[in-house]
Amino acid sequence: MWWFYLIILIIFFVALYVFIQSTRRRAMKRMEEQRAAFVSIISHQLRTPLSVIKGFLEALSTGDQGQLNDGQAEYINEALKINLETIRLVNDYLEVVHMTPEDMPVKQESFDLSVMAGEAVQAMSLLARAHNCEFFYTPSDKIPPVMADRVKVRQVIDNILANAIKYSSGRGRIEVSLTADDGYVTFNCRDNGVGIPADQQSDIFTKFFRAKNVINKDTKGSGLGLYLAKIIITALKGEIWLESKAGAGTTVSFNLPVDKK
Amino acid sequence: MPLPAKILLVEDDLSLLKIYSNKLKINGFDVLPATTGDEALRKAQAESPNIVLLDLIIPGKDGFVVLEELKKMEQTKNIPVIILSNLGQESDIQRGRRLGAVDYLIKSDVSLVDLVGKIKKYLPYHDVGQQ
Repeated sequence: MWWFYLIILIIFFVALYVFIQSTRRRAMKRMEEQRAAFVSIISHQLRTPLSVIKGFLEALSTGDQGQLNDGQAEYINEALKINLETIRLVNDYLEVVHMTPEDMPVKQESFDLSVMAGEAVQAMSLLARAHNCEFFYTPSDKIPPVMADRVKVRQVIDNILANAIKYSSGRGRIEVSLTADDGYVTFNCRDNGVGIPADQQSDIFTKFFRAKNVINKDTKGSGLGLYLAKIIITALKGEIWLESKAGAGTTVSFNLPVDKK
Repeated sequence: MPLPAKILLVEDDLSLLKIYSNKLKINGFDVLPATTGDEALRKAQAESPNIVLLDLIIPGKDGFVVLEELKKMEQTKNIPVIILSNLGQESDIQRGRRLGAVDYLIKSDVSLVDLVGKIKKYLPYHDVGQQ
């Protein structure tokens, strides 16, 4: 008779397992839908002021409020350009909610990643100083050009540097370096910030993920940045990874194929 | 001489209302502004506009409800409605189309010049000014 009870017990545990898994899947799906709706609303709220700025600038640039002199027209067009780039960025974020590497449209162009890294470090240095952080970057002329999407790679670098600043605030040191081997150029950003606990590192590139040790800190984040970075780098035939230790810092790296022409 | 085409512009953001109104007036349209869903429905019935530019997130009845009611009323059901919103999810676009909108434009993506062009496309037999 014991085998009968054993079978009943096995059936019970299998049913329990299936029930728990399906409840978990439903809860995750619900959470995903809620977050997608949240991102949609946030994107709407961001698009509205950008549309207002765009409308006023466009009305000025087309002469609706009178002719502009060359200097005024140049300034208005520069402002309009930045406004349009920002709208594009918001659109990218909205797109990414449903995006996979296969859907991500990317260009293939040859450019110097070390120059781009230098520009990104320079652009972020004001933000770094505001957070009591300092960048260390030595450009190298031995890094070959890569074949990738210039705008999207810059977006990835900005995101990684912004994270390094955000999670190292008041602690100081962010090292950016590049290496080249085996047909790839590798970008590394090493900080000495809060780090990511080992048990959460496998989730770091998933959508909306934010590590538990930073959620309660005074830092804001969408949880989309590294997810988007992963989608972009994967679409560009590269890889992105990280090494981290809670309390000791994080190194985020990605590689991209060298332009072989 | 034909009267200028009358546009019901439903927009609750006063800055955008000003931007769109000015551009449309410069292009020879007669603009009827409305900042809430109820005001939009009232003016649509009272003024019989030639076209409606409809925002979706507005006070009172939202744009989808306004669109649905416009398409139900005999007096307004044939007026072309262009949705002009910053909601850009595929589900919103599908819903707007299903409810009878002739076009769905995202404010942050469409230029003022293109907006005027779209409106003219849906008003081929009206006087839409000289510009």
